[in-house]
Amino acid sequence: MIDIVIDGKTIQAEQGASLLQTALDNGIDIPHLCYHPAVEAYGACRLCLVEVTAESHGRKKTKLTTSCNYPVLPGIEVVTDSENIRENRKGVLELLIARAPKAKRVRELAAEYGVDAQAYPVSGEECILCGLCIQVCKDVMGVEALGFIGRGDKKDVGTPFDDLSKECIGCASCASVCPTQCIEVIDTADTRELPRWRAIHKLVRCRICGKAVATEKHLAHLKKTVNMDEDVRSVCPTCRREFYAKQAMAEGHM
Amino acid sequence: MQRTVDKIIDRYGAEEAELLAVLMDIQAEYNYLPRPALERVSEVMGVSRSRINYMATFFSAFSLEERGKHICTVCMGTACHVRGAPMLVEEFERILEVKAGGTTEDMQFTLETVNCVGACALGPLVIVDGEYHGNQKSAQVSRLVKKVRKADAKEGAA
Ligand code: SF4
Ligand code: SF4
Ligand code: FES
Ligand code: FES
Repeated sequence: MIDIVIDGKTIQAEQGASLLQTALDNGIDIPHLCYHPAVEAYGACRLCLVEVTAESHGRKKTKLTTSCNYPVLPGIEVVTDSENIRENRKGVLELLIARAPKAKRVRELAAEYGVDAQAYPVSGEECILCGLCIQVCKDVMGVEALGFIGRGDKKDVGTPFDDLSKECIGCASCASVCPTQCIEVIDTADTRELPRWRAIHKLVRCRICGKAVATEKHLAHLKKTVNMDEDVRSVCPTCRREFYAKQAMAEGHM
Repeated sequence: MQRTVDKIIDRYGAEEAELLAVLMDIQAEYNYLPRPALERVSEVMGVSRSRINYMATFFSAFSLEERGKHICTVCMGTACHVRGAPMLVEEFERILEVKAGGTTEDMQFTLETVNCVGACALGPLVIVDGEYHGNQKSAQVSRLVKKVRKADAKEGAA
């Protein structure tokens, strides 16, 4: 653990950790969209800007940088709010809201930073192309169902080619991390649909209580990756806990 | 097609870093990137389809749709644009009876536009099957098309 200074306060932090995560852990809020602790930070949304003062070659230098992918280093001093920072975040938000005027989170932040959200029509896009869904699908789930498509004003995220996604397992991890909540997951009695990814899945219901557990493909994936036993997989977490508790009791462990 | 694709991959090796080179050769072979070929690349090189699709859609030189035997490209970059490129496109559209971006029904011609190919001084620029023609006027368009058709007819007769 080393000492760093954030907004005048000395904080104990782990060297090399994400500066943004360190700030958040210490109750210091820095606006951010594309950062998620489950994947490596890659600085896509540019919102988490801070000023870092560090010594290099005997001289102190201050620079504006994204905090999610900036490592905690000995002796750094960090400012998370200043006129300059706000001005720059405002610029970033202007771009984000022009791209995704419908995204609620972006509109909220824009309002907070005095960007005139009214100037952008509330229609169309909610995705800010941060790529978090792609990262999570690839690095956490090990699936790689998603990717960027095209570039420039035609850039998009999605599944490759035109038919139903072959790779997607319907785990909905992407939907749960999306900062603008623009990945819809529609569960019916026995299907789960992710229209954005053109994926329709069969839902498996808990053998005991009937609640949705996961999709068939997700369970098959778990079987491959964590080698979970069939009986356990088709039971929802709540019933699973009860099941194990009962088993433990029966065996006299409790 | 599988054999052709495998041969192309063999040329470079199945390293992910070679993906661009492999896709370029497939495009050169078929004039576009056929889906089965891309599926094969994914299988043999172990690169996800998402990654391949991103690369295939990132570079405008690639096409995922089947294209004609001959590719006519009109540069619509700023320099060519102000020197009358839109008129050239119109003329091509009229002669080939196809909209820019489209392919003729007989699969002979695809008409495309690009934004600056870096030869602005020669604008407006037309590229037919990889051959550059500078300072083009609409009157020359029909000659370019005729030349290609004639060459094809000869080839067919031989
Ligand atoms: S739901 Fe599909 S696209 Fe989303 S993370 Fe899971 S596998 Fe990937
Ligand atoms: S869908 Fe959501 S997570 Fe994916 S790129 Fe768009 S905003 Fe980011
Ligand atoms: S959270 Fe740091 S760049 Fe998006
Ligand atoms: S604008 Fe046509 S070559 Fe540059």
